[in-house]
Amino acid sequence: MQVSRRVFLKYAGALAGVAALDNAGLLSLKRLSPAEAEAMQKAMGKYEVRYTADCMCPSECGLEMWVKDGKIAKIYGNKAVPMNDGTACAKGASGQQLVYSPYRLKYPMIRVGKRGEGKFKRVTWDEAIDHIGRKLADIKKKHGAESVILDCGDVTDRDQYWRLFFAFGTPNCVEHGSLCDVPRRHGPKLMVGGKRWEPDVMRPQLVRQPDGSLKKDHTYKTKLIVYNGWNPFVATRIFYEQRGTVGAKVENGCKVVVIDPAYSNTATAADIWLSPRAGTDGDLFAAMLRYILEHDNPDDPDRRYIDWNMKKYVMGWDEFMDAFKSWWQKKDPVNGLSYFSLDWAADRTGLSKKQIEDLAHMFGITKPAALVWGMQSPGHHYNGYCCSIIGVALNVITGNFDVPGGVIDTELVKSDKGGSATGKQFKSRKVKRIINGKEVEGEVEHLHKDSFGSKYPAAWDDVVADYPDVIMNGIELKYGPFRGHNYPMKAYILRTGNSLLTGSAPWKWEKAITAKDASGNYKLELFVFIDSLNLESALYADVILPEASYAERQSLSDIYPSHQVIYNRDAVIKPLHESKKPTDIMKLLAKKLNELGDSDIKASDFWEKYKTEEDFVNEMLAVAPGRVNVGTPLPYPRYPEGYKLIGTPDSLEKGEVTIDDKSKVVKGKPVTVEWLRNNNGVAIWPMSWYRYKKHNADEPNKAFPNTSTKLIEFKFDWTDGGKRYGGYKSYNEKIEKAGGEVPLGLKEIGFSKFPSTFFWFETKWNPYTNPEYKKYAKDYPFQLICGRVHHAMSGTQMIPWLGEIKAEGTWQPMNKEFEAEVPEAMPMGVEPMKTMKMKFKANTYSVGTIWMNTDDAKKLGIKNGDMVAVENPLGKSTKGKVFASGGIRPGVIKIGFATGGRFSPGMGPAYKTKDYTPSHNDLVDPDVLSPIMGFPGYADMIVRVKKA
Amino acid sequence: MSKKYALLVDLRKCVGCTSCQVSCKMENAAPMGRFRSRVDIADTGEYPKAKRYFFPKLCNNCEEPPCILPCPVKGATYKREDGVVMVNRDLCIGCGRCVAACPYGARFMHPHIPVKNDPSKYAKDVSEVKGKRAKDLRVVDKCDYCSRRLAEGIEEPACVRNCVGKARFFGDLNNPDSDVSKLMASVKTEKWHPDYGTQPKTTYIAPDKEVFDAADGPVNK
Repeated sequence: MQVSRRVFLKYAGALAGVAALDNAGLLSLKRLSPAEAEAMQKAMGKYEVRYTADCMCPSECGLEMWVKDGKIAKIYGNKAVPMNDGTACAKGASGQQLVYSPYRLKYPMIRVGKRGEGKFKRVTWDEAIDHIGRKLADIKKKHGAESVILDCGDVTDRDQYWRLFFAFGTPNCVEHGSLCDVPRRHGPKLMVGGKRWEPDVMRPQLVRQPDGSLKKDHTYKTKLIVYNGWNPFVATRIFYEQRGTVGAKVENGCKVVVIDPAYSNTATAADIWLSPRAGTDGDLFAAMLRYILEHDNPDDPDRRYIDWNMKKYVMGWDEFMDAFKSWWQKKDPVNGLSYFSLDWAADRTGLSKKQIEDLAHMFGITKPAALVWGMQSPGHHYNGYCCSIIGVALNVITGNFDVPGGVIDTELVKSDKGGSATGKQFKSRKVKRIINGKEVEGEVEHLHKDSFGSKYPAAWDDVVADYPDVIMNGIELKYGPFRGHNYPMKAYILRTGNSLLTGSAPWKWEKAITAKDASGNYKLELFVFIDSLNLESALYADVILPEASYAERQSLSDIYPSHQVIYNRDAVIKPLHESKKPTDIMKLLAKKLNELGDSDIKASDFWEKYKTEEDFVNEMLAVAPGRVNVGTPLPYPRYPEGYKLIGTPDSLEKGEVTIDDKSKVVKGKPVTVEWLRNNNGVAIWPMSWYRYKKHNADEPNKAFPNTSTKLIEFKFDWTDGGKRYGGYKSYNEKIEKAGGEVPLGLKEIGFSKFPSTFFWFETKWNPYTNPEYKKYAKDYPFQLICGRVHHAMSGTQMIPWLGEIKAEGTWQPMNKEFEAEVPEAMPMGVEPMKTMKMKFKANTYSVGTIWMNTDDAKKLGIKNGDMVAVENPLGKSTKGKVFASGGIRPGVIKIGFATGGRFSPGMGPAYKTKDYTPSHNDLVDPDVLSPIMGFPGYADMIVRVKKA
Repeated sequence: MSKKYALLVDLRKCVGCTSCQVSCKMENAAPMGRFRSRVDIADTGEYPKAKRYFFPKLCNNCEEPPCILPCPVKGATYKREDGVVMVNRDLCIGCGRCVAACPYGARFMHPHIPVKNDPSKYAKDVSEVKGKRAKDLRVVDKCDYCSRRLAEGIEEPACVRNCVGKARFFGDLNNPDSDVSKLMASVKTEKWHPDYGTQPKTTYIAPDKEVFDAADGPVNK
């Protein structure tokens, strides 16, 4: 009973008699006074509504920002955008507190102290650009353009920077994807040429009706969703999965299974929560596949797991199945059991045999269903590739791929964008290098650090986590025309990322970025940080450039809907402080490099070509939607099946097109910024399903998916009729041309080339699945996992409204009392926010916490809120407060991704709590980079916990 | 017949994102630490039977609001014909009696909105404001279903507009075709603490009634 409730009792007696009293006198029934009503209407009337896209998380929802007096006054979801269907989450709605944050980078700065000291002087844009330009020119002359690496830690709005640096002559331009969920995406990329498989729960969808009209369809079809290590309620990139999951449940009786060692927010909507040991996702999937193969019976309705018609649409199933089955004969050294059997999986996952059997059966028999695996499972483990490949197989053979209510490869069906604006064409420019005294010619692309480097030539999303190693030891090209060419990493341009803190182990990054050569100069000669936020990496930068915030620059959404949708990220307000838009930063730097004599950078490619940022975005839009006319119902029955569609939805609808039969393209009027502005900010093309087959026949359409055979491929490298096929083909060809030179990553797992079909290997630092680590289990009894916390990424940790929220066990109101300047909403006047110094009482503001099981905590004498030290076998440790609950598997510890130890003063309130909040990344093993694509094993670690 | 507004939360669809809480702050500029609308989150249960409850709360805009009776200034807080319980910022003298009277903790003093009405006129009967000047006092604030939006004919509070799970519904109880009326007619619904006798209007679809005990804190502590 709270104070206010006690006081309430005082009045309760009077209330009892309320009905007997005269209502008019007691309850003051009254409408607004005319003056009040007028004031309110005036207040509401002055807004200008701008359609834009969020950028506070990768969901990038369509938003309406209501602007008054040049300030963002309101933020709502854009009702025309099906990604979020008019909704906006807590982050999306809190954008004012980021845009008007006192902690933003406000003007260019140049370092005056040592790297990491955080001492800078304010400079003009001219000075900053001049400094960067001269350094880049010098590095290009001394070491080649390829020794400059551009890392756009954020995917969004990176095209301007990519264009500039591709033109400059480096192929090494990367983005957030390289540090996101690479192994998770591997199976889809390899087998269908896609990326992320998500349930068909985006509603509404625009669907062609039998009468030829287009209608928004809100009905859910899905009957079962299995989320393995995927937590869309908290760490979503696929925003519609939140309302779609609960919508399918309530409106269509869909069952939901969540597999996660921690009881996630998504698990609150689950009919079944399974909590396996960490890093056993692939084991569980493999056991499901074996069970389905062993128990499938087309004649028994209760065992009709496999849709054998799938064989028409796939290539290499028999080879895949044979390779998979060959493991059944082997005994696992960990437990002596037959691989992929129920007993084997039960031993490894810690789930019961019955739980695994029930899950396999339920998934096999329930249709339509979607099996989804996420960032937090295969994405974070060294062997996540295996899980991801089996996940694809399970969905395909059960007949759930791209069926209504099944699972969709969202990469294959999203709208294309970027096009020539991104500048990839500059990578085909011819360049020469001297190798062992001999001049060799190749293309800029052939200098790529990963594609032709010694470690991970199949890293199609690039590798960022090895930069510390690259700074220290350089890059060796082992494949392609420049085989034998070695070069250093001399400049690091980091734009909207914080790799120093999150690109595997921060201590290793710090060491490399501050390392000096024999003459006392930094080995990395130039480090530029470009962002709106003042993050930890900025403390180490030589030059800091303030970029316009997401509400102040123009670009396009980067999203994963179930059919083609694209929308504007319109510039809603003018850039604040001295910040500049990416297009302007690109032009400034391009002009400077050209002035300094760089003939690779031309006026006609930059400042003469793009007068405004709108010109740039229009070029990005010119390729949209860029997908083929396939599926049932056929999106555009008036156009030939399989032809690529380009142009606005209305021009395609009206037939205002040209049809090129030779290149199979239907081209309408190009989508432009202006067109989007006139259409609620968004372009939407029709949905269809069964996009891998003809709309009027049960046979492949040979236009989808995006593989070498245009079929779903279960083999990855094979020759047929003298022609070579498969997703690994090109990498094996590289190895062969290099005389069998095995890439470092493959060597680690004992492979001599990329496998031709199903393969299996174990993860690292897992004593329950990899015998190498069994010896650590006693001293390090906990597995450490991590995951993104919805409200606690860098930009959102700075937002006080989000500090009032708790999320799962890793973001809890456990602060000590502190004072900080924060933006506070103003109910009166023209300023939406005012910076105020505020005192936050203990346990009122959420901070990163260490989540552990209640019984585990009890055994160690640890109570909720106690400070503990978490130590790994590498001698690294981190400290934080414990949140103990029954919502996490015993023997597992979870820490949010980058939720603690935030040592940049630019983090605001989070900085004030850095001494008692945990940094998960400090415990990551920097040498565990997954063998195919060089991705950090963020969740491959074991630890012990001590009271601190 | 006048409209009778009510808000319904379908907890089966609540994803725990707390957008309602933050969207409300955005819309109404509620201050740090104070809420017109808030989500209580409670972790309960032992492994493996853990539970997490999300309980979105806001003013009940009660049929018999206990907050109006103790107000010493006629019309400073009142119930409109459409059922919305309002605060008139021009009249409120910031005595805080209504804040104390609400058993749900739905009201608070807004630190950034000074009182306009001269409190000295009431000082004789209202000890809370005795000796204080208007600029030293703060008006009371509470959820009024985004009355500014209602005044513009936008019958959709910000929390409903932005609700990520599409779990919130707002509408006219006197209209049988409104979403709230239809849901209340077809699905079993609950109220939060009907035992307080104030006839709370905020309605919940809550198959697991444990939520009312697990997350029973007031909107404002």
